[in-house]
Amino acid sequence: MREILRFTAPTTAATSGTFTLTDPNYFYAGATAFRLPLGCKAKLWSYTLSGTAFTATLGVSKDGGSTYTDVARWDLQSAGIISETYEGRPEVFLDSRSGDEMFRVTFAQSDAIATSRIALVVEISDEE
Amino acid sequence: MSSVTDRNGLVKDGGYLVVFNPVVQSGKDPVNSSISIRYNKAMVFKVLARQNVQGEKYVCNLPTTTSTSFRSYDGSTATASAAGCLPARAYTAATGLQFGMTGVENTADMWDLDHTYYDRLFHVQMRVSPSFVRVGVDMPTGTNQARFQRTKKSIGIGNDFGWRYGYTEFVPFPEVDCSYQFGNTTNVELMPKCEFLYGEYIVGIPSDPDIVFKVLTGKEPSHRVTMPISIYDAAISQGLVRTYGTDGFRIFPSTQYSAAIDEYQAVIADECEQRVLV
Repeated sequence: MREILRFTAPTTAATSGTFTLTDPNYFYAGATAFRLPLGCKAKLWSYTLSGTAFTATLGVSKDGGSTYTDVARWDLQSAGIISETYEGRPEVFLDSRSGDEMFRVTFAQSDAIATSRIALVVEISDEE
Repeated sequence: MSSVTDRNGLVKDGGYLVVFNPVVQSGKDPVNSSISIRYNKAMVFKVLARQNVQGEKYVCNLPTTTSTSFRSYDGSTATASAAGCLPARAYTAATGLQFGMTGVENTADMWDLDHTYYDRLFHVQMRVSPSFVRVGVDMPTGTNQARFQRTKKSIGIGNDFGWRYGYTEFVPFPEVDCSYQFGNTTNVELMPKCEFLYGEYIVGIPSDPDIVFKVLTGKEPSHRVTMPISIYDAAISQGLVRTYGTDGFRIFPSTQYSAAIDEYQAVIADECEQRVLV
């Protein structure tokens, strides 16, 4: 089983916060974190940051969202767009074995304006 | 792709379909009646033709509404925010879900037929997107058949294990009421897409015991589907008997040709409804 999700979210009018991630195809509403289905891996295929300058941090939790560990940070240093695709070799950043594994993306920016957006292409898979 | 199925896994015209009953039964050994042996049964069908072979696809939303009942993985109940939704951390109620359709025999369940459809058999494959939705089939409706260590422990959609993600294949028999189970362990309310690939087979039970033997021993190629059961509910056997006159053929070792032929001949002559034979 493998499914490609396209998580996307805008920044809010705050200097920091947590993205409300949504997938337009399958999610009824967004969530500030995503709980991995039991036994699945989350593989990052690409990320895109656009808009005005901000940093995004990917955090993972193994305790149902009580605590998070940062595993990646991306920096849009000036207005524009940055994007990276992991051609053929997606990064496994979270592997579920208890069903309590979650991930989230936080942002930080110097001005409290809602002008930026993040998009992540993530594969949810129970295969290698 | 086997020689009897097409690239979609549906049985081609003229092919054989075996629906295997995984519940082991016991009875007298037909070779030595003084001992009791364990055995399985299977239904054997010849697919004479397939209806609507150019367009065997059906796509729809999950058949839920805001009043659909769900159980929760976290110990409470859950409701869908809108039609077609599968709530976060929730799975379907014991009665499961059926796919209704107007203008069909049973408008509450498009795959449900009665015994007058003895010449028709659906072969239904369902893929759910996103594919991390847990999927199962209850045969009959309301009966979770997933078990571990014989029937010691109930498992399945609502448990830690005993389920599968995103895909199921089964053969709903006429007169046997079935339902689907769905589960969403994520914290996000989902809007799943259900994609059916089905065959409406025009079928009959072979009247030649030699063919039945060859199919069940693998000498004649066939496509085999296993019933999604661990317990042989009386509703299943009663439905099969009402439709076909029999609940299947005992599976013999390939070395017991004579005994098998004798028993198959008796099943065909004495049990099977004449109208189902081909």
